[in-house]
Amino acid sequence: MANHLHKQIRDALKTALTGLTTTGARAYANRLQPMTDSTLPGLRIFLDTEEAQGVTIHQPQVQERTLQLAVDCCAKAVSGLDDALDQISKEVEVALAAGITIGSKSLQVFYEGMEFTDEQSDKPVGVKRLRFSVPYTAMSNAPDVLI
Amino acid sequence: MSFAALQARVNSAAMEKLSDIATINTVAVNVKFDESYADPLGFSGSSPSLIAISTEMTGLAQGSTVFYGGVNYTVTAIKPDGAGMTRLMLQEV
Repeated sequence: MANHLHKQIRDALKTALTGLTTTGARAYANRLQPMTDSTLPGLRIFLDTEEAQGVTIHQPQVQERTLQLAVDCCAKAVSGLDDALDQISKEVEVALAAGITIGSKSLQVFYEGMEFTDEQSDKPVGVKRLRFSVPYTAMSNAPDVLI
Repeated sequence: MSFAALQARVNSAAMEKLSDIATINTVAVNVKFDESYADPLGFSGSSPSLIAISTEMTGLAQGSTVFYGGVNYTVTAIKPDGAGMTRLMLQEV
């Protein structure tokens, strides 16, 4: 049995977001530890919520699911913090606009908005949180298989 | 002796014995420096600040320069404590 589609999608997101010009290899999925200077500028990828709707009546049910995810663009800079975060978010949006690949199938990734926060530290730190949705279809008894 | 005068004397005695020298706007001042851990927005970092006798720091403003421990800082916030001392919040340059 393959991994849950959530893991497959998270892994595909990480692959798509690794190697971008500004953040390079510093793309982390579900990172809970604080970001250190060596991990910046970097990306944090989180799967937040999912809504599922049955399109058949009986079990096992065909379900149309929409996964909500967030990509945190993270940077620390004495000056130009906003500009750095804008550049990172541009690279992320361009990378995900091409969609992601699960096995031999492509999934579309839709940009849904962003929130920006920054704060004072030993140097100013900022996060531009980009929200995306990923619609896909799976059987209720096979959440590891994309249909 | 008034309470204010007594307070100033205590502040002065404490800073004379328990302080380091920092350069604030090119002037050497006795300070107590603090750089405790902080992780705003989930980033490892610190919250550098110093405290000194208010009257010893002149021309203070946001953006004033501080040199301490081989590191240059800029003042981001000025917080008088109302008892003769002022804390400067700092950011590395």
